[in-house]
Amino acid sequence: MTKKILKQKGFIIGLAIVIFFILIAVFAPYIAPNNPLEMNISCKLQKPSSQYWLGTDNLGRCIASRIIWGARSTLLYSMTVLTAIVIVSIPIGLISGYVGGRTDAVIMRVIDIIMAIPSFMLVLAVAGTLGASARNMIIAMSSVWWAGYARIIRGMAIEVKQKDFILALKSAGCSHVKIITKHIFKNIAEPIIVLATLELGSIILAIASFSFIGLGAQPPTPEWGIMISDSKDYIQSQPQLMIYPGIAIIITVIGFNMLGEGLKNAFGRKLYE
Amino acid sequence: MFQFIFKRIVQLIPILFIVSIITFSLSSFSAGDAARVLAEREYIRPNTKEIELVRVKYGLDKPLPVQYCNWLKKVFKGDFGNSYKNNKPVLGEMIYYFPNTVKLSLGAIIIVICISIPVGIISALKPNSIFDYVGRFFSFFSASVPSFWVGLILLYVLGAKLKFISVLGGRNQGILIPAFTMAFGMCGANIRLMKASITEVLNKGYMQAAKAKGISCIRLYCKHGLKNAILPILTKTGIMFSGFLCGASIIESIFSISGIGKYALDAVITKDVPVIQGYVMLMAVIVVVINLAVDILYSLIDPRIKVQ
Repeated sequence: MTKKILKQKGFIIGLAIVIFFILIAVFAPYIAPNNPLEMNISCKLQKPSSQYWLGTDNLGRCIASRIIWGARSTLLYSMTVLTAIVIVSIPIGLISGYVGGRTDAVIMRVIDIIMAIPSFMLVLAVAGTLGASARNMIIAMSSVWWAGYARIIRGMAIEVKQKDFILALKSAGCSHVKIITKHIFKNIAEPIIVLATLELGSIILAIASFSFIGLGAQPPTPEWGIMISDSKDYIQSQPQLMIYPGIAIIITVIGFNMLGEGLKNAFGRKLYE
Repeated sequence: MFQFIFKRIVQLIPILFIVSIITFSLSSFSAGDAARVLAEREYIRPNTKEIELVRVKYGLDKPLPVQYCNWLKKVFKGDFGNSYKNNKPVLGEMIYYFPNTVKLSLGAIIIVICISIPVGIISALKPNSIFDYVGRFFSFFSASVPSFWVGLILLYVLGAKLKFISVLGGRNQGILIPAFTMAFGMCGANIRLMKASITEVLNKGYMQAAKAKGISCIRLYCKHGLKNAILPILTKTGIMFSGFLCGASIIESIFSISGIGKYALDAVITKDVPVIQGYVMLMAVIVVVINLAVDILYSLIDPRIKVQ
């Protein structure tokens, strides 16, 4: 299996990008040349120099440091959303698929209803009433996105449930709880990891978009979406202000997508379609 | 047929009911006291007594379920209340802004279809050709680029550098560039879907049979191939359209288009609860109706669906 994965060029590139991104995010305080929040109006909009690697923004903050710290915010927010989605959707999906019958019908109706609500609308509604913040954005995103996930996990659970070895386990007297947690879960863990990796790219994009329009993280947090939003007024004279954080987003998302695609090809496509 | 449509409509009721509860509870979750906000509109500096007076007048002293019923009654009549900001009826404002958003979203849909269907078909008919590689690269790339960034780059290149469009946006600006920005991210996914769908149909037995019977190429691909391959695209287009309508805020705020998305976004900043409520309710109804329309259309094209 490992050999099959390592043969893929896309996977290796994706893995390298993701590891690089995680290292930057974790060691941001040691890598960043300056304080990302420190404003120095006297040296605003400067060109790249040894002190400011990518120059400074309209408030004299170091762009490179803000991008490096932005990796940290992006990793933190996206991982929180993903963890929440996975924690909620796995038990619900497994129970719905394994138990079946009326329980399944009720859970599926709820999932259908939630999936009919666009996540954008809910984030907007929550931001408009509870106030816009990174925390509220994460809550609103997670409370909608788990549904689609739970539905996929349910499908996989139903597929595994019909296999002969489950019947064998049942007749051997294995408890339902043990079958769900140990045998079914083990068999669908691989596709869940692949799905989660592929999902991270879109979660990162969504977080950046929400922060960009002011519904997510709030300034002066060093966050890529906010950085692009801050640069809007300087689009004519200082386009580099929006280009750098944009490239950071694109490279990170490409990294996660390549990693996910690589895993998907290695594990075999059949399970997820 | 009618039974199928009726069944689908009945299924919509719980969805809309839950959305209405969520929408209504937004106002009670809201950080400020609604009575105080309303009182501040009537009195210059309302004291506690005046706030209580307003509370009774608008029925805000009643228990929440009663308030909900009263609110729902009004919503059925199309009354979402007045905006806190300018005291105009929310519904009227939304009707004023909505056509711009529809225009933008329809434009984006047309662009997506014009790009993804031909590219998808050619990639499926000629796999591993240069065309296929370009299509694959584009679909991978477009899924990794934030649409708001594409919009800003277009604004910079076409607006600031080439002076084709105004950087400040506004009325005279066409919707072509904003619609293209909106479409950009979805093109990739649709090319992929189209290609997968066509490839699947091409390998079906009936295609081989039709070919063996010796019918013309055009009839083979258009009548038998495309008609079967288009079904998943149809569903996807419906979802895409409602996605565009709901997600229009981003593009509208970049290109300063006065659509309903920007209207809602401005309401978020000023915490204009009636506007947010009206927006969420209206969009939920639209999304649900679009889904219903897609389902009905689907069953007309493919009668097998009704049986399931």
